[in-house]
Amino acid sequence: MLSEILKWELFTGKRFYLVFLLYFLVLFSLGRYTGDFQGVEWKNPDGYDIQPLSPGSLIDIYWQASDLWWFSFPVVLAYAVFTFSYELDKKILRTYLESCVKKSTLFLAKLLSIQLGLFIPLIIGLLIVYPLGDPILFRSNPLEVYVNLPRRLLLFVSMLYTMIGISAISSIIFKKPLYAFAAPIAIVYTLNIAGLRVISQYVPPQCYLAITTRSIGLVPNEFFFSSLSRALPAVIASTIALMIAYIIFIKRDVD
Amino acid sequence: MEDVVITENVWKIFGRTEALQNVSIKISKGSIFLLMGPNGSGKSTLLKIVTGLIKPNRGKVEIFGTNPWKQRHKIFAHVGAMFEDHAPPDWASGKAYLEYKSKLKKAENPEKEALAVAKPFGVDTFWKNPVSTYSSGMKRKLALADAFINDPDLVILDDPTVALDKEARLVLQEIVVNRAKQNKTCVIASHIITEFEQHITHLAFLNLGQTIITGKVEEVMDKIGIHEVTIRTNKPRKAAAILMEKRYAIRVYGNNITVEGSEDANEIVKLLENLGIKAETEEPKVNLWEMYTKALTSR
Repeated sequence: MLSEILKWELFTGKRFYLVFLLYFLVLFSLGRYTGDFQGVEWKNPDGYDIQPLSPGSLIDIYWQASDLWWFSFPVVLAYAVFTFSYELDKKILRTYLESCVKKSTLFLAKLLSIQLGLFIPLIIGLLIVYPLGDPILFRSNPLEVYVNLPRRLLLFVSMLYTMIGISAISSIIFKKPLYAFAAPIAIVYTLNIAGLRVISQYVPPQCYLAITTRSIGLVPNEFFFSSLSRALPAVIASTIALMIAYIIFIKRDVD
Repeated sequence: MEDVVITENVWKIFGRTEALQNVSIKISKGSIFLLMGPNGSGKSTLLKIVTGLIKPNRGKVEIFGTNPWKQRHKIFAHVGAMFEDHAPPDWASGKAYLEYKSKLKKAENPEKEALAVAKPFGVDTFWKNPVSTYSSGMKRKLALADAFINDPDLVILDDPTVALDKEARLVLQEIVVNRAKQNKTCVIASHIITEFEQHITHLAFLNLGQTIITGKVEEVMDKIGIHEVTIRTNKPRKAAAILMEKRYAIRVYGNNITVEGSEDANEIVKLLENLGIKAETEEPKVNLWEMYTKALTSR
């Protein structure tokens, strides 16, 4: 039953394609992501200086991760709100509930559909953008750039989870779509829980040997844990929000 | 007769509105049950409670012996429902929708099930197009096909004839009557009902969230004081004159004469035949509207 619902939610619902399109629009319409004019800091033992880019330098480049974050979170929110909002998704919700589908299965399917619906386009987007961007910037082997991918995906797991938690509870509590969407945006902007983006700091492959204090890939170090600990409250809050959303979803009338 | 649906002292309150107040009804297996009442009387709310879509504030609800709110996913294996605001997703085709619905109700052969319910209503002629292109009548037919998918034991239809053409109404009537012969139950909620008038076996009248009266049609007629017999004759004018002379209260419709009151039909037939008028008793015609208005005003 779960697989049937997922199939309908992901493919027949067409939301997947909408998000897919949005991601590519985001990634490719903003030339900064693949351009060679990144703000780059060249690091030496005495501090940071802006330096011309050259392969082999110890570089800490943010690769506009925060821009990607600020742009993508409304997309994530919109997707999650749309999936969970009864008012926006009333028709398909009634289809499920006038059949043998358990509410708990439906909640799980919706949660999974968000994860899959966002992750697939995201991973495809990153897989394309990384090798496009790196050879231009660093003349690196395109294959080497994927070393950083796990870390970047971890960021998005945390980010998605946080967004889904906030969106699910908001869309279930607020029946009006405007409120359902506005509430999580206000929360994100107010609390600036986007501290998660720190995890996405980009390290070019040429610098791996010189790095001792930065984490590469999923190899943990102090800096990595420090970044994660900043994200932890948001993740815990999201877990609580999701649990409350689940309870309301189960107990709510479908009028 | 086994009861497939039981509601006892059911209350539902939305904010400050008491949508249902102490509603108790029983729906017997194999019956064609009419739930009648004006707009806002609580018909749809009651049916949504019965199908487990909304939870009552108070009272007991059972459908096939289980609590629909807790076991909704189980009861829908035996129940089909069409609500007034039925709305399949616009982007799906009617075919995909029906097959998907059949799958969600655990059918072994969804394609076959979908076709079986689509054909009688003519849905299969347009079901490959997306629902967004359907007229309101086509959507209604799709909704009806949806309610009957997988041949459920109980079908609940909320205002089923709205936006339907005459042909589709007759098809629906035929399906409902045939199903009743197979001991399958049908609940029809409406504020206007004509097609099913002569086939209804049980009914409940609701008004302002309260049950006015419920039971078998004959019992309800008795309770609200509708007693009449109908005589069929080849000389209605002459027969009417004789009956009026004998101080009977009558109404004449073509060759039929309805005699009001607790009269013995055979006695009247005998009286007319003794005076040389051929006469026979007719099956009593149910006039739901008369029953309904009388029930409403007698409270």
